[in-house]
Amino acid sequence: MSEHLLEINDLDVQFHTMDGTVHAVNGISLEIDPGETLGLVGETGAGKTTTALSILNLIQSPPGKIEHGEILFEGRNVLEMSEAELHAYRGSDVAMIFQDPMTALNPIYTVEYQIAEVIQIHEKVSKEEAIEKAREMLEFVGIPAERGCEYPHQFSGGMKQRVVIAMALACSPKLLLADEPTTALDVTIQAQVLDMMNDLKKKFNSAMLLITHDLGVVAETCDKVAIMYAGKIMEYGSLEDIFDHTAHPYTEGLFNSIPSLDEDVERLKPIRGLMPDPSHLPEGCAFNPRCPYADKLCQSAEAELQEVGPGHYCRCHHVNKGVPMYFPDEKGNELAYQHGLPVSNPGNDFLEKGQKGEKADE
Amino acid sequence: MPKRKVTTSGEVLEKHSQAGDVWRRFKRNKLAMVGMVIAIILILIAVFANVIAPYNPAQVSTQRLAMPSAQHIMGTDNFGRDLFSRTVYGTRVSLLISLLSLVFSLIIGIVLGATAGFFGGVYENIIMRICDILMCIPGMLLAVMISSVLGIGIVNTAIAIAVSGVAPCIRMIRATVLQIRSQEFVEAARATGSRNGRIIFHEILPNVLSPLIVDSTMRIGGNILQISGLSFIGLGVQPPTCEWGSIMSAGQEFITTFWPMITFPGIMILLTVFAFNVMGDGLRDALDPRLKQ
Amino acid sequence: MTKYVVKRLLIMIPTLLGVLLIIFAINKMIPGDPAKLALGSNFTQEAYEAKRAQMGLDKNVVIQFFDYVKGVVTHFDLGTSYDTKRPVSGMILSRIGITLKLGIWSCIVTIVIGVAIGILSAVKKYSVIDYVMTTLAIIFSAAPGFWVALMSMMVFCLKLGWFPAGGMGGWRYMVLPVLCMALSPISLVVRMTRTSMLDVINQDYIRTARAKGVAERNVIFKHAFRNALIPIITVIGAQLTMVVGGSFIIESVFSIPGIGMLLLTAINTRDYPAIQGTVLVLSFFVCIINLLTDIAYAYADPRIKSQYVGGKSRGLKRKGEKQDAKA
Repeated sequence: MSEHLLEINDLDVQFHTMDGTVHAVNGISLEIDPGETLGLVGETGAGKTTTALSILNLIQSPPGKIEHGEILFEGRNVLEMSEAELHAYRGSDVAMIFQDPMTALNPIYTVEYQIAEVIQIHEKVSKEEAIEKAREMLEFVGIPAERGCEYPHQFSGGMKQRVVIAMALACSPKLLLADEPTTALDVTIQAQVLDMMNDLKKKFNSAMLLITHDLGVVAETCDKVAIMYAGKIMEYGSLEDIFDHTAHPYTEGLFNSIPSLDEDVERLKPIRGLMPDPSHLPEGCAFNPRCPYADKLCQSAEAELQEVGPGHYCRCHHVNKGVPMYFPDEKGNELAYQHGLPVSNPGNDFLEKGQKGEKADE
Repeated sequence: MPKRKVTTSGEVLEKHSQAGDVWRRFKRNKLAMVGMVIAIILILIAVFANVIAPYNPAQVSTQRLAMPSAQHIMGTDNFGRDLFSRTVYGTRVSLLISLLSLVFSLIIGIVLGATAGFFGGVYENIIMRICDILMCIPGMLLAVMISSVLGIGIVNTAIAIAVSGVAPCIRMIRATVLQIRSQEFVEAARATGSRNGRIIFHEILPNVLSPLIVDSTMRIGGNILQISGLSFIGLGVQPPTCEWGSIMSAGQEFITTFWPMITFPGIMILLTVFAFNVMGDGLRDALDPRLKQ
Repeated sequence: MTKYVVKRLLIMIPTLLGVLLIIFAINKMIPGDPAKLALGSNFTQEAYEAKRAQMGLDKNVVIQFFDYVKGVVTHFDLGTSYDTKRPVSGMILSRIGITLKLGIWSCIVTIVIGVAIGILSAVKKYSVIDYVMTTLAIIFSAAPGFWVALMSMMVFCLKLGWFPAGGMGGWRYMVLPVLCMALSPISLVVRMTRTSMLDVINQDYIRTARAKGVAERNVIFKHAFRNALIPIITVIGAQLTMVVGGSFIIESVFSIPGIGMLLLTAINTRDYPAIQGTVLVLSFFVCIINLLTDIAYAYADPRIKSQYVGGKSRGLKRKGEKQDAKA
């Protein structure tokens, strides 16, 4: 059954703080196959990092608590592993690249020592061999090996991120969790680091969960994309599904707020309003206060994740109405697909086509 | 009451005054609140000592070294004086000296520290080197030396303690001023054409204030420890003036048979220092939102 | 590293000179004529003149200071006691052993117990142990050392008879004085260790270490504690100074014949040369503690070390100074 490398089922994480319970992740499900890259996209505070930390079972407790759900890595439930199993699992099966390279390295140990430490924990090698391999890893990520005996404060931000990447890849993990690996870096370094990560990923044949809020990065690196909002997956599908067959108003909003070179627009259309406070989520669909299409139904009932195309899921009440479906009909033609959302005319023909599409599915 | 402002997307933005914010955070810290209540009670005891004390603290009687009873709830000392009354008056003396020396060290500290931080140069260097040297002499020993030169008495003790603790005070104020001086809002004030005086009083001092408040609160407790120590060894304040340390010093002679003379004043010191320390801790957490958990 | 230690030792010289200057200045402020004080009550005019000349009081104040420094540096001349008429240096040397023994034990106890409890409290935060320990630490840091000494003497020596009530002898004589000296410093070290550890445990690099699969014990000791050390060292340094500064009261309570007792006798007889001599010696110990603290900093933090060893990162020098200023 579990051909997936990683399978998250109905994960729910809450933080119990003095100011109330924060619902960071509300029942998300994901799969990642070997060698595949999944992009997890969303605004700050959408629960992306919490999801990644859950995969390592590293949620700080208290205040954090994984309420329910399971995370299966090669069929083993990470949440039920013993301490010893977890130590063996972290760093060797799954490794993580953290958001801020400035603070991710321990300031009092040399860079090579910090890389060698992972190797020593997970592979039966002597200290010297580990250091030797750590230096090789440094060379891999483009840092001269002799700089290995320096301390993190002697490196620039981009260099530190390379070190962090070297550390994550040192034991050739099957899955790499990259939490906004380029956000803290200069634009010129960003591209370099991304290219390098792509190359290394291929070399080590790792799967990757790439957390980002940058759709440009997603377009360059990912095979599949999950759009997260307020701890829920709003839309999930292949890169093409998301980019060319955008189904969810939130995803649309994300695209609209990126400047594009091709189109000559006077103003960008940012999503209005702010991310809801995760301790006081709005009733109904979490996105309804900001959604241009929201109606009574959106304010009262939560939408379910529905399949709008093969392997393409969307959590919106209006997928049946306003948003077209595009399941192929018997002849294999994509029926009823219309790019974008019914901005000007949410007319009946969309609805009609949508219903046709549904029928085709049956 | 915080003003509420509802934005279009439905979330609530709350607006607070800064003092209100601090107080709200402080209130949440139970230990600090306990400390504050104890401190207020102690201050009231000090102010109304003559009302609270059932006897004249200097009135001797033939009933010497009496154990606590309904008549003398803390017993009597070696001259038959009521220990409770003496302890109550001791609160007044201790708090008075502590505050006095706090004021002295604040005056020196603010004048030297703020100017050193603001003007810098050779002047700053000289002051800071003197502080370095003063800090090599343990505070208690410096207080002992100064006190032995100045002699006993309330003001002399306050001066001795103030001088012995002034170096860290100068350092702290200078460090804060330096840190704030380089921050952008001061640059901004400069850029908009404010004069030096205005910058010091409107931009820098209010920001120095919060570490100063915390430090002062802690210092009250520390001062009381030093006062009692000095009095205990025969400096500081001596009988017939009531002071916790000197009561204990007199009681040391009778340690084998009579416990109240040592126990009660000690508990008072413990309570006072505890109260001001936890209050200072609470204030620090409340004034520095970055540290709140 | 040696270079750094040597540099630091050289800085100590002006500091010690400054201490001498302050002590000398306070000496000059003493009301009354030192020559008269030295002679006692009955003396002739000639004896007075002779004494003044012998003490160098007829010279210029600046020359007097240099003579004083010369005396202290060349043959440890701290003057003659008004009370016993013996050289102060001799009196101090004969008593210093016992004070050192007590002081060093107190320092060891402070560091070991304080740090151990602090780490325990941080690792088991919000547990019963943590609450008990932090509460005790808050209470004991407010208790005057001499009071704790008196109380423990009443309870453990007089009531229970577990330990001798005073004097010096085997280890049983040492237990209470050492604990009483160390109690308040331990409390402060516990609190700082806990705060510092909690602060570090929330840092990103601790999460990195956990994500690498480092076992929890190593996360705590290898990654967290080593980083938490800097503020802990600061507090330990300050508290050891307090141990030195407060030791004399504890010595007096337990009638331990160390230099603390000498100081107290000197205070009671207004024996100024003895007071100054003792304070000078104790301040010297404080300077040593400060030196050790600074060396410990350099060992604990490569960022501080690299300022001295490599001299590469100039920008960090300011930062180091700031930390210094905070301490």
